[in-house]
Amino acid sequence: MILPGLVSKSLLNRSDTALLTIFTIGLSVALLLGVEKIRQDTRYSFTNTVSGTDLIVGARSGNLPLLLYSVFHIGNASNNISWESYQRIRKNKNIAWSIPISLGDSHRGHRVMGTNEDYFRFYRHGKNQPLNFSYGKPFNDLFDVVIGADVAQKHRYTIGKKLILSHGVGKASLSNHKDKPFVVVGILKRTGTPVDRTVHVSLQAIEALHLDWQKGYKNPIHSISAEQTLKLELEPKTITAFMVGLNSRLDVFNLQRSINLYNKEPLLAILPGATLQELWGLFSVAESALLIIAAFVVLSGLLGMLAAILSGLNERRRELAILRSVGARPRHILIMLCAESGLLTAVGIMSGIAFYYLAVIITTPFLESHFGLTLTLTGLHLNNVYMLLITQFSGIAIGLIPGIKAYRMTLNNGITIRL
Amino acid sequence: MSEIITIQNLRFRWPSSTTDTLSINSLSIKAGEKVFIHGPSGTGKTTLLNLLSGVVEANSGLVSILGQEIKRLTPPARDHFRAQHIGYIFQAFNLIPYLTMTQNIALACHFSKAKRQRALTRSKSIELEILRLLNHLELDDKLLLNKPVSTLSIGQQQRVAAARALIGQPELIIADEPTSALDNERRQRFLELLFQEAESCGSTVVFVSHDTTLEKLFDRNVKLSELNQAQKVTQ
Repeated sequence: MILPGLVSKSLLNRSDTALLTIFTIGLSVALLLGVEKIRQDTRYSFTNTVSGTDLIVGARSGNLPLLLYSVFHIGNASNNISWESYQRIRKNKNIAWSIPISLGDSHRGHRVMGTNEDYFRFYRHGKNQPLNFSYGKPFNDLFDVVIGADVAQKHRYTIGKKLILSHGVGKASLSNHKDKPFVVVGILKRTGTPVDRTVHVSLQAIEALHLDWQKGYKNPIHSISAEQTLKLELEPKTITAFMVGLNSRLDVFNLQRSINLYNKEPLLAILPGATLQELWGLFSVAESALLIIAAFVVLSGLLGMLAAILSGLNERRRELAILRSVGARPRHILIMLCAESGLLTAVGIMSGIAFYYLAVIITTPFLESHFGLTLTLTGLHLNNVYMLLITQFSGIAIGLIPGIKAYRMTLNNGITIRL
Repeated sequence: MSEIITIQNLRFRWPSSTTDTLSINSLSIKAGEKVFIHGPSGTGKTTLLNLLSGVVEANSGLVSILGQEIKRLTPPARDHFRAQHIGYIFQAFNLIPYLTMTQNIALACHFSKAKRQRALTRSKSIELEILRLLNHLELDDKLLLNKPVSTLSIGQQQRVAAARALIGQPELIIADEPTSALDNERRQRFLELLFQEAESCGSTVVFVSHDTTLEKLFDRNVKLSELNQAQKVTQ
C-alpha cells in the first residue's frame, strides 16, 4: 500500500512543524515518565531502608517524624530517650537484636550517627541484605569512624583520613569539634539508602565529643583533651532512638503496646511498614496532583499536534483533492490523517523515552547528593507502558478530528477545488 | 461508436440550495470524441465535473459513464470506478509537492489495479511507461525526474499532470481548465500532445474551460449555458 509512504513523505515535507510537534510530545511524555519514576523510586528507596526492622522506638512525638529522623535522617529529633530505658527495654525476651541510634552532629553536611557494633551485625536494607565493607572494618577505638559510600566518593576519603565533626546539622555549622579529630577505619559498600550518606561513630564517641559541652556550647574552662578522653570510662546518657528486631513477628503488637505504655518515660514505638503507609497516604495527594499535571501536559502536547494538523489542512486541500482524483477514497484520507497523528505521537513517545532516560542519567548524581533519592536505571514499568499506550491511542484518536474534517471536506468539495 | 457519457433528464441541487444548479435534458459523448465544454463561471461547471467523476449524485435523471449508471454504485464503488476509468487534470497546482515527478505519475497506478495492468501491457514496468509518456509529452529531461516538482515550470507541471491522467489508458479524461495558467502558444502545444496520446490509447477527452479560443481544436463544442436548463429559468 502506498499510504505509509505518502504519510511519511507528507510529514517530511512539513518537517519543521512535525519536528516541533514531536519535540512537544516527547517532552511531555518524558515528564510523565519522570513523575512516575520519582514516585516509584521514592517508595522503593524508602521501603529499602527499613527492611527487617520490626519496631523503631524514640521519644514520644508523631509516628512520621520518628520514622523520618531516625532512619531517613530527615528533620531532627524533638527529644532523646534515656540510656536506662533503652537498657531496660532491650532485655525483653522477645527482642532478638536492637540498634541504638544517636544523632545530632554532622560532618560537611553528612549526618553523624552514633551507634554500636550491633548496627553492622543486624541492620538490614533492600532485600534483607546486611551492611558490607568495601574497605576496612567496623569502628573499634573511640575516635574511629565508618563512612558510607557516598561520603567516601564525594570527598575522596580513604582509610586513615582524619575528619573533624561539627556540632549540629547543616552545612555551615560554626562550631566544630576540632579538638577531637576522627580517623576513617571503614568504608561501607553502596546500599542506595541514607546509610551511604552517613558518618558512623560509636555511641561513646558521641558522648566524648560533648563531654566539655554544656547546653549547646563549648565550655572553655573545662576543656578536656582527646588524650584525656580516651582514658575515661564513657557511658552514654541518652540516645535518639533505637531499632528493634524480634524473635517472632507475632509479638510485635504486644511489644509496641508495652513500650508505648512504659511509665518511666514517654516513649513511642512504631512499625516502620505501617508508618511508611501513612507516609504514602500523605504523598499520594501530591503524587496524584503531579501525575494529573503531567497527564495534562501530555494532553496539551497532543492538542498542539491537533492544532498543527488542523491549521495545515487548508493548505493541503489541493493535495487531498489530487489524491481523491486518482482514486483515493474518503476513508483513505481519514486513515492518512489518523496515521499522520499516530506516527507523530509514536515518534514523540519514542523521543520522550529517550529524553527520559537521558534525564535520569543526567539528574541522578544531583538528586542523590541533594535529595538522597537514588534513581535506578530500569526498564519501563508496566504502568508506564499502559500510560504510553493510552497516549498512543489518544494520538491516533485525535487524528480523527482533522481526519473527519478532511473526509467531509473531500466529500463536500468533490474534486474540484478552487484556490 | 459506443457512448462514453450519457446524461438524460438530469436534475441536481446542492442540499443548501432552493433552486436547481444543473438541469440537463440530454447529453451524450461518444468514445474517442474530444469535447470542449464551454462553461463560464456560474453555469454549473463545477457541479457537472463532480457529477461526471461520481463525487456527487444527481437528484433525478440518468448519469451513465461507460454504460455504468453512477447512481447504482455505492460511494466506495464510485471511487473505485473513477480510479479505474477516469484520468483527471486540474486547473493548476496539479502535483503533490513532496513527491517526485515519477511518484506523482505513479500515484494513479497505486490506487487502481486496472490502470496498473494496462500500463504494464504497454511497457515492461510502470517506470518505463512513465518515461514513455513523458517522452511523448516532450518532457524527457532525465535530470528533472527526481527533482522536487516545485522546481518545474507550470507548463512542465501540467504535462506531468497529463501523464498522470493518461497512464493506464483510462477511457475518459476529464480536464478542468488545465491550460488557464499557460500562455497561448504553450496552450495549443499542450493540447496537441494530450490529444495525440489520448488518441493512441483511445481515450475520450472532456475539456472544460471558460476560454473559447481553444474550441476550434476539438471535435465538438458544447455550451454549458445552453445545455443547462436550470440557468435559463433563473435568468
